[in-house]
Amino acid sequence: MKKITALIIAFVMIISLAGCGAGNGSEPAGEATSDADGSGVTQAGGSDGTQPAGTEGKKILTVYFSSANTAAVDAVSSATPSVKNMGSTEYIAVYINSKVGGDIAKITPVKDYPESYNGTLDAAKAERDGDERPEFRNLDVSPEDYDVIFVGYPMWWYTLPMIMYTFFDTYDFSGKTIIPFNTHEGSGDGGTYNEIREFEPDATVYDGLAVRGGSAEKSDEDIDKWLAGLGY
Amino acid sequence: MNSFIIKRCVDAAMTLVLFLLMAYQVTGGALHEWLGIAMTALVIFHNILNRSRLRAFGKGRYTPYRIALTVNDILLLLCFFATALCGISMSSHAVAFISGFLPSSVARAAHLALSHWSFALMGIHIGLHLPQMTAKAGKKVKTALLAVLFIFAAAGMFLLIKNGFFGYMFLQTRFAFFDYEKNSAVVIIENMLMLAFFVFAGTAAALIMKKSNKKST
Ligand SMILES: Cc1cc2nc3c(=O)[nH]c(=O)nc-3n(C[C@H](O)[C@H](O)[C@H](O)COP(=O)(O)O)c2cc1C
Repeated sequence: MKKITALIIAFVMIISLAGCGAGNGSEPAGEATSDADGSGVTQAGGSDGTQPAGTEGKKILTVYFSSANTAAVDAVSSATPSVKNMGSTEYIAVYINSKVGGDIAKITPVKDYPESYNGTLDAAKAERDGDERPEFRNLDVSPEDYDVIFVGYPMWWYTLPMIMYTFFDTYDFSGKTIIPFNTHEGSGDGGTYNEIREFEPDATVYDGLAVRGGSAEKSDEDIDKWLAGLGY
Repeated sequence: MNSFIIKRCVDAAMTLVLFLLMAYQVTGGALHEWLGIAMTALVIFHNILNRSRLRAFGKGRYTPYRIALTVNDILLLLCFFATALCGISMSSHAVAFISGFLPSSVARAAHLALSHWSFALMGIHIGLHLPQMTAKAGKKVKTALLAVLFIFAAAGMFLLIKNGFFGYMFLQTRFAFFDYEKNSAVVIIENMLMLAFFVFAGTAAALIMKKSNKKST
């Protein structure tokens, strides 16, 4: 009996110790590295504060999909951005755009998703199982005209929303730099950065930033750090 | 063949399949579904092999230990079959032809939470029965086993917290995190250690209940 009691006490102590290390909001994907073609070339933001060559004078676009039915312009012009009136991916996109400058565009589906969360979940699952390519409305910009494209999306059923497949099918980003970012509720980036590398084999695709949708508003610092690592 | 050997083989197979089921990023979707079907078959077979226990249900004296076993059995069966049902409804490979009888949003959330409950309950189930399985071993062997289990369980506890295991059980995390960068072997070993935590918890509870049972009689 004594032995067991001692073991249990030791155990409780370990549990409480381990508890101290728990809890995290977003998972920055660490060093911004890219090796799109497996050439071994790594592009990292200068950890010593130096800027990677040539971020200046490049045309930057932030383009994103988000489940909220708001327009990007509204989101940008609203005085205090909040996830109450915009999607979490939208919130991050607007924040990134405010830091890096350039243009911003929202990918809006031709056919709206259901209002309810569960309805959207079911619709998204059907799209994924059917390998569909839902159409999006004309963007106000032509993404291929930009040098650096920040691409944002929420995780949907462990991968990119199918509308993002349509997006990457539509444009050819050869020779451009793609910097992905995404929101999620647990599955991180789910290997989607590598998927994008497969869609755009001739683009340089950076490891992106995965942010918990629920803590999007608290992730400004993480985003700042990540952008600084990229040289922005 | 000796029914004891068959039982142990089925138990070992179930444990192995469990580790693989909890490693979705290693197996991928199709194999995951076939493994789920294999597990369902093994669970049914396991219950047939141990049908004497089912028949004894409600008969005889219920000691605290026996109550714990019974409650664990009932919860485990409920959680497991609910997990399987939700899995079947979401199937896009093995049994896709009968899928879709539940809304996928509900099936997904329930499958994720209940599979983690099933994992925990299976660990406790093994733990509760471990004293019986090792009854014939010597005292030294038993103590050594318990010590090793304790070390594994301690490591498992760290991993449970690191991987946010309880967040899945209580629907705090609504989607699973699959770390594709993590080595497959590491994923499986982590699952073993995490299971060890629940096995240890079950064994500790069983030993305490048996001790207090002896005293009171
Ligand atoms: C249809 C659908 C599917 C989702 N699938 C996942 C998933 O597989 N993994 C995950 O972590 N989160 C998933 N989520 C949660 C979203 O990624 C998360 O809530 C995100 O912050 C939503 O961004 P938004 O507000 O910009 O639309 C899903 C959400 C929806 C609506």
